This record gives sequence, C-alpha cells and structure tokens, in this order.
Amino acid sequence: MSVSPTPFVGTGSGWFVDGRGYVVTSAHVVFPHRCRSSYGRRRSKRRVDPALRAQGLTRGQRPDVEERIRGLVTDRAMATMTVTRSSSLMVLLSNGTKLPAEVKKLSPTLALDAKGAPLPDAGRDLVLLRVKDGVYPALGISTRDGQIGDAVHILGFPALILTHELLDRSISLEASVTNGAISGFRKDAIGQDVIQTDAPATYGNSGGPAIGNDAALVGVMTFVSLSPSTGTAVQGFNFLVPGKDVLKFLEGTDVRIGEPLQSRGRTRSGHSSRETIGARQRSSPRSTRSYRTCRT
Amino acid sequence: MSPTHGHMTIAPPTAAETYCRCGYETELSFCPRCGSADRFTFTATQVQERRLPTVDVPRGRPGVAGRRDRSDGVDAVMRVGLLRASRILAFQVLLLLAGIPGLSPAIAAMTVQEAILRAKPATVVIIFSDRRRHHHELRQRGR
Repeated sequence: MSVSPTPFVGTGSGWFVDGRGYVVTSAHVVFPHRCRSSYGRRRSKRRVDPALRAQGLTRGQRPDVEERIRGLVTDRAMATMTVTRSSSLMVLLSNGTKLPAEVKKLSPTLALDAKGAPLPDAGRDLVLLRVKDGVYPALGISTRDGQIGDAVHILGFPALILTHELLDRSISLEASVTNGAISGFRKDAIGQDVIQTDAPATYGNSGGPAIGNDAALVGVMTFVSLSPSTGTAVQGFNFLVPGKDVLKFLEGTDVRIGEPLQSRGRTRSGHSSRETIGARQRSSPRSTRSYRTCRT
Repeated sequence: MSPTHGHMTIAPPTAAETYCRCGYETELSFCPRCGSADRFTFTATQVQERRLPTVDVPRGRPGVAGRRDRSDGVDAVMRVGLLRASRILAFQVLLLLAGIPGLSPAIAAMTVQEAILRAKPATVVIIFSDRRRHHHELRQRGR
C-alpha cells in the first residue's frame, strides 16, 4: 500500500554569518525528519489510547507516560514503512528573494530516544547553509563575556506572526524582535553549554540570532521550555547556543566572520525540561492551526 | 667661566679655551659631564664691554630645569618642550579613551534601535519542504 501524505512544510529562522552567502540556522529546522513524521504520529494516535487504558490511565493524566507510549508506537509503525522523500531547502531574504540552499556542515540536533536518553550522534544543533554567491548583510559573532543581566534581542520569524490572519502577508519579510536578558548559564543533557534567556521565543524562532546591544551575535535560538502538565511552551525560559560554540562549529569551513572578540565561557550545571523550538510544521501550506514541535 | 646655551648670552672669553660640545670647559680627553670626546676651542676676543648675565649655579644637563631665574631663557625652552610633551600625552590619552569600549564615540553612538535595525536584514526565513511517499507492507492478521 502506498500513501502520499500532504507535504511537510516547516519554517525556521537563520542569519548570514558571512556576506558571501553562508547562513547559520538550527539543524532541526533543516532536518526535521529526525523527528517522527506527522503521518506516523497520526497513525500512532489510534494505538496510544488502548495502551494507556491498559495501564489504567486516560489522556492527560500522565503526559510523560503518554509521550513514551507514543514514541514506541510510532517507532513500531515506522519500522514497517518504506519512505521515498523529495526535499527542498529555501532561504527567503528580507527583500523577498527566495534562494535555494545546500547544507555545508551539520552538527545534529540533541535528540532523545523513546526512553528519554540522548541519541549517540547528538550535537550542537547547528547547520551551515550556502546560497549562491552575492553580497548579503552579515552578523558578527560576539565572543565578549556574557554576563547575567546583559541585554539580548532575539530576531526571527515566529510562525504565529507569519500566519497571523489579521496581518498583511508582507510581514513575513521583516524579522520580529523580542527583548530580554541573559538569565543563566546552563548545560544540556550531554554537557554542552547553553545560555538561558527570558526573551520570548516561539515556534519558528529556531535558528534565529540573539544579538546584544552591539548588534553582534550572542547565541542561536535552539529550544524552549515546556510545561510538564500541559505540554505548552512556558515563556521566559528559553535557551541559546552560545556564540563561542558557533565559532567552534564554523572552524574548518570557508566562512569568514568579522573580527572575533575575546571569549570566556561560563556554564553552570542543571537544566529543566525542554523542547526544541521546532520549525513550524503544517500539514498544508495554508493551514494556520496545526503545527508541531520537533522533539529533541 | 662656562658658557651658557641656546640663545642665551655668552660671556666672551678673553683667551682660547677648550670646550666640550656640551659646553663644559675642560682640558680632559673626556668630558666629565657628558662623556664626549668632541672638543672645540673658543678663541674669541672681547670686543665690547657690557654687563652680561652670568651663570652662577651649575644647571645640570641641557634641557633640564635648573635653579635659574624664571626670566632666563632656559625656562622658555622648557616651556616649549613641556607644551610639546603635553600635546603628545593628550593625544595618547585620547587614543586610549577611544580604545575603551563604551567610551569610543563610534561604539557609544550605537543605540539598541540601531543594533536591531542593523541585524534585521541579516535574518532570513528558512523554508524546508518535504514530500514523502510511504510504502507500507500489509501484514495479514491471524492467529
């Protein structure tokens, strides 16, 4: 039996790190197939309820158990499936130009398996894209010591704004800005540094730049925190990949960044429950309601 | 009697005397004041009788403030030198201030609004689309 589900379309944010055409974004924006497919999820829904009932639970009682069962069911469904894919990757500039992009370097997403353990190839959740040669506006990367309380401005294209029914479509060309401050230095599940900020972010902000007051990159938006009870995003507790890790990721590439500043990493242990800000995923390009997150 | 320097009036000697280039009168092969071996002989004759200012107190090295009357020309030379030195110092201080982030006019002039406006054009939308065709193996259910 062959099934052609509606195309998966996801959007995220990115930024030019090199004016010659190099773009950095989050890996899960470009490789959402590390997440379970929407088709697999829909198919698994029918099997989650019986499994929950077998454990004497109903929907919403134990979201963690529910999610684990959903993961197992989806993995089982995907095992009997052969998938033929045709993907495309585009970069939409602020002047409306749409350019095809190719992946130059990848550090995979920090993904968790069904049991909640990190996958062995988990990485920094960054990807370097290349668009055709040109002269593009680029951001520098600040390696100045970040301090708690330093101002942070997150730029990006949240899905909520892109698909807002009361807004003009031209809004999609101008990045939205949210403001906050550095509120902590943490480590993720595999010990990588992340910066905690209270600047609001939502689905579609993934891969977007967080800049300081000097217009230099402080970090790259990577994941938000979810409420353990409802599963909805809790604002004020979002996380960035530090600029110094972006510099490390770009080592060995042709990318020429502006003058690097001095760096000093500072991390503290501990992390909260989290969710990658997924690229907005929708079952059809016109749909404004159904988007999901990419679980990592 | 030792001659003075620069534009100062020199008391003309009445006989030939050997001087170092630093102006120190000496018969030694090396000047005890500056260590130089250069010598010159001053054989001017006294042509005019007049009262000339004399140097009563050793002044040390040329160009260094000595215990002289302020009306003396040494102070005038020193004032020029100090002015030049102070100008150089002031310029260096300005350079130093410009190098401190936050004090440099170019950096301090950037506001938050300017920083955001500068970063906005560099931010782009990434669009990923994926068309899939799923082939399922149908398995017969049975005991």
